[in-house]
Amino acid sequence: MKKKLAVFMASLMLALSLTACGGSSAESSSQAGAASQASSAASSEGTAETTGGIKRGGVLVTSRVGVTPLNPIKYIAMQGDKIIEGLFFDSLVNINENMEVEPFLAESWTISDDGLTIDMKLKEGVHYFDGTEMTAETVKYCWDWYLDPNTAANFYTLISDVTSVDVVDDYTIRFNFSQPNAGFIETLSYQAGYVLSPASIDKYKETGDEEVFAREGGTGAFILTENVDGVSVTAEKNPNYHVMGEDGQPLPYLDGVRVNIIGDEAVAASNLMSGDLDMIDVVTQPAVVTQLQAAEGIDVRINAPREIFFLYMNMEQEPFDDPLVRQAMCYAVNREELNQVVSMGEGIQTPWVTLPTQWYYTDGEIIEYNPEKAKELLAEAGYPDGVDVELHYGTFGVLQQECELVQAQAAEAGFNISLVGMDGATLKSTWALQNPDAPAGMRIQNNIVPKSDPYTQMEYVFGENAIQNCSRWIDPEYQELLLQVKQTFDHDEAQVLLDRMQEIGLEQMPIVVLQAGPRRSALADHTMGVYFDCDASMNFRAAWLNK
Amino acid sequence: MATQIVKKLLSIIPLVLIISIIMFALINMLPGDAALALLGDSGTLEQVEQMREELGLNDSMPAQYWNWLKGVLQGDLGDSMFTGQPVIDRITERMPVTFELILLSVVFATIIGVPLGIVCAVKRNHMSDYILSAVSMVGVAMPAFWVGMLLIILFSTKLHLLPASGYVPFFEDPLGNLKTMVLPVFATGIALTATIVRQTRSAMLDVLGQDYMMTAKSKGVKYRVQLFRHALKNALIPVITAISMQIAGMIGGSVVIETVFLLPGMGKSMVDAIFQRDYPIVMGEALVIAVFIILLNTLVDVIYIFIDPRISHSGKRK
Amino acid sequence: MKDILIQVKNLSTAFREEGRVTQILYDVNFNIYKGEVLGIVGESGSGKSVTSKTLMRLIPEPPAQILGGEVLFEGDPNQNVLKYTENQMCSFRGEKVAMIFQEPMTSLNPVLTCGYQISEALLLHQKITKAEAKRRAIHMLKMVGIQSPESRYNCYPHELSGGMRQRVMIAMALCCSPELLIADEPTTALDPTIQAQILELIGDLQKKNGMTVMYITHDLGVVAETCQRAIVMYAGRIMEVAKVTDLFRSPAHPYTEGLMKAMPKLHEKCDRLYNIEGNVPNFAQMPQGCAFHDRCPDCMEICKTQQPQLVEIGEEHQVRCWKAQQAAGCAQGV
Repeated sequence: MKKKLAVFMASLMLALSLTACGGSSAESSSQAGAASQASSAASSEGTAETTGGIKRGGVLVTSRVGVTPLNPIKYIAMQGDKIIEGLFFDSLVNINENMEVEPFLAESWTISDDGLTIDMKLKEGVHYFDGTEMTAETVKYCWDWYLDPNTAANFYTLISDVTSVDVVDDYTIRFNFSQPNAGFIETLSYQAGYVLSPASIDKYKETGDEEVFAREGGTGAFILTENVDGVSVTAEKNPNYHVMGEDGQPLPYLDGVRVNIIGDEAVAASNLMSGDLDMIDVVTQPAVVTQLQAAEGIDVRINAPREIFFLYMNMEQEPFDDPLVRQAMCYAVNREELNQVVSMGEGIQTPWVTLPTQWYYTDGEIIEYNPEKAKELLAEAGYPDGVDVELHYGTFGVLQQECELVQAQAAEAGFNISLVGMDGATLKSTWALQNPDAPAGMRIQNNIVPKSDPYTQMEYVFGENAIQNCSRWIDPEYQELLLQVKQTFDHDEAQVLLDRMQEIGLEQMPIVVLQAGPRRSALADHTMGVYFDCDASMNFRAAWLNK
Repeated sequence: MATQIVKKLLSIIPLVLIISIIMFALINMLPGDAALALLGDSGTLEQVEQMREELGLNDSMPAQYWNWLKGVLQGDLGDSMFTGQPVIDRITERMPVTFELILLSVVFATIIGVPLGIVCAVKRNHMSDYILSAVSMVGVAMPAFWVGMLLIILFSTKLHLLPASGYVPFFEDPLGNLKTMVLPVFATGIALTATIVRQTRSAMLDVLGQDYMMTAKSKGVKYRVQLFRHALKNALIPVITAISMQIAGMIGGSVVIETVFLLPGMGKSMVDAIFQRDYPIVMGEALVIAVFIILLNTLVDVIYIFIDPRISHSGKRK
Repeated sequence: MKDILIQVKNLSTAFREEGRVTQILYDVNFNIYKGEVLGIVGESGSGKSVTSKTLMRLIPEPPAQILGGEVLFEGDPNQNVLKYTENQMCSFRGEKVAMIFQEPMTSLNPVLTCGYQISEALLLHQKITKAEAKRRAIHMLKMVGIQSPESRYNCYPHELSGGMRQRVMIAMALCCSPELLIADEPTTALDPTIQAQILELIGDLQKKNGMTVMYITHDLGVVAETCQRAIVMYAGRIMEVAKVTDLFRSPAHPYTEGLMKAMPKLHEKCDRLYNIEGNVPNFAQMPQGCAFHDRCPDCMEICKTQQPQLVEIGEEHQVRCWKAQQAAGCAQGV
């Protein structure tokens, strides 16, 4: 328990210092206060300062870098597509800025000793857009649909341990499991945790209308009014929202939100500067960041989530089937330089795919850049004159810059890297574990916010069925431990297993971690109250426009 | 002449069929599996298989193509694999935008380009010719997105005169529509204007050097009349050809302008669909574009018949 | 004295191209008399075409440049065509002087009907209605021997043969009854049978209207057939002027002699056609002295260094040649 408290305090301090570093003012702390009940004293000071100033009304216009399916069961990227949560769908729980689970639509829960049942108490007075109330019955209806294999929800594998959902009383439901799942609650902060109205589910079954949930079946602060595929999403306020604002009236403060899909950061930047946008969801390009930092009336800030960059190495083919070569690659990158150049010095180092703010983080050695050692290892592996490899990357964000830098750094170490860029969909399906024709070499990945429960996170990168297990690393002991972690509720016990897993991973080196870069957004000075939580959703319920 | 046009229009069918087969083959050659692209982050092999079944990806190529074709013949272009939106809806949403962009750009470029081209030809080797020719060379060289960004910086960011992005349908708000289209049309139109200036100039010079111009002069025809009644009509023929070829290119090129100015047009939709491996959208939009271009060529041929009497009504040039 | 229609005095023209000035016509002097049929003969590059076009100022100025001289209409010093304004030129062309060109295939505007092109000429110079212009145009078409002129009126040039197009051109040129018709190689591009028809047509019209005709040609046969007087040009200069009968019977200039010899004759058999040795000089590199001396079989010393003048050696017979002048005893400037 002590350890947990210490970790909690440490992460709290870290989180606070990060927000301070980001240059944000009292506004950023007020968001947490408005949104969640479990927020600490630190944020309530901020609340007091801004209560008097909140203005209602207006439509906030934000950009979003890619298209997001509006149907929650059809998300493409679990975290990338969470803007719909910020608008239309509340989840049962949230992950706050400190990477902790917070109740939301689920007020409290108890887990049975054997881990095979979870009883969950739902918040009362929550209504779906179509007017019906959220009760245990409606949630059961929704979960019956989720659990039906014919629904083919994209998150099905995450909830496949649930055998059934029962109604205990009007506002209490019971999840029954075939085996314990320690990360289940955290999973409910993602798409599986959205509650959809029965009527909308019926409509969807009948008509296949992908927008029906966002229009009629959600419980969020905003309701979908118009979706122009690939171009924009327009939403208006939900007048019956269940969370109260600081002025005693229900949230949201805004009349509406409009999301413009803008794939090009430079275009988004010029729209922000001309006033056509109130904020940009993500800015990564150093050039654009610098431009916006210098611009008047615009604030670039770093959010709590972080993006971990790492390299997959295809272990089924040469040269990375040889552990010596993989180790050599570890020494062939200059992590500090990557941080300085690509993250503009605002990144941090982590030894594995976890962040220091997470409870299951284990510290470890950050390997220094040592091209000599890398060359030695390569020679030992049978490549005395160096080795030619390909590095694949997606042509978005800062991946290209990161890869170009890695290419230069690794050249010194005997790796002759050729870069191959492609779009996200191609990259994903080319490198998918299920693709037998995957290329040899490396692929860079940007893991936007590690997931808050260790099983889901490690399964995402190393699972034996994971599309994203691009290194194709399936170690029997690791897989065994992973399954155990899934069923271990006690964090200390789980930590032991995770430490061993990290040990195995660092020994066998299926990936090379590069850095944990910042996630930045750019906001106009008048845009207040937008909240980025650590399950990667951008929340507008407490947002308001100071103009 | 009517039979001529009908024959041309009928040729759409085999042409479009061939194009659709080529498009289908090309799309399937792209690496990347639509099923893998659409699934979330993890999936067992069974789930991938299931997705493939659903999407019809397990059928053979010819079978998949035939399924699509069957649908088309019944008037059903299918639904987007990505969002479920019916392809026909997507097309009716996007076509008018691209169409308006192209139409306005052509009108803009022609209104400015043809007179300037005539000036260049008439004032050949004078200062004005050199200046205009140099400026049009620069115009051709400037990439449209760069011009677009510059215009945004000037007119939206600095001067706040025009919106940086967005689109308002014309029938909703004509003034708003024009405001959103001014910068995109200008950015697209500049390169086209430059091309038209150069084409007009060279066509006019060619015509002005013809014997019949001297005949006209020898009759005592005034210079201005020589230019406009005797020369221009002849010069327009190659210019119209050049414009129509440019239009075909503009449909693909519109994606750049649509990206910069956030216009919900067909070009961008097509490119996005290709990235997302959204086969029905790609096939449907390719079909529409192919038909459009063929109609355009037919229209141009008809215009030729009207302008150039040497192209007789049977379509053969004497 | 016959009435002068056009008097060309000391006409010198040059071409200016990329900074270089090349002289084309050297001090050309001649008269065109009313009602006559005059021929200007010479090889390509002799300057004959330039001369005729200069009379109507059809060559754009630049690149053409008039170095000096006058073209006096009806000999009137106040009517110097070279000094006319553009407006004056527009009423001069087509009305007072008209021209028909060498290439009927390309000399008519392909996108305008034949009838329109004739009507246009009429409407430019006469105050009549469009309907009247059409009527007259159709009449002209009939006059030049085109069958069914009413339907031909609406035809485009590409629908007619070369010979018919030339007839249309003639109709176009003559519809306003000009005083001078300049025919620049009107038959060169036509079949021999059609050639004869066209020449006949022009001859008929000339006799009917008393029009003056100036033929530009390199074909001595045409000259013999149609012209009363002829001017021989070489290298931008007039070499000989004579009545056609005199020219053929007793050519004075060695160049003219050469031309006569070079003509193939039907009743003579020969193995090789005669041709004048050498080439027409490049205008940029004119030889000193007589322009023809390096090709002349009768070249004398003086020819190499001194240019002869154009001197009258007989009745209406002028020649620019030392030998000829000496033979006639009136060499000037020795």
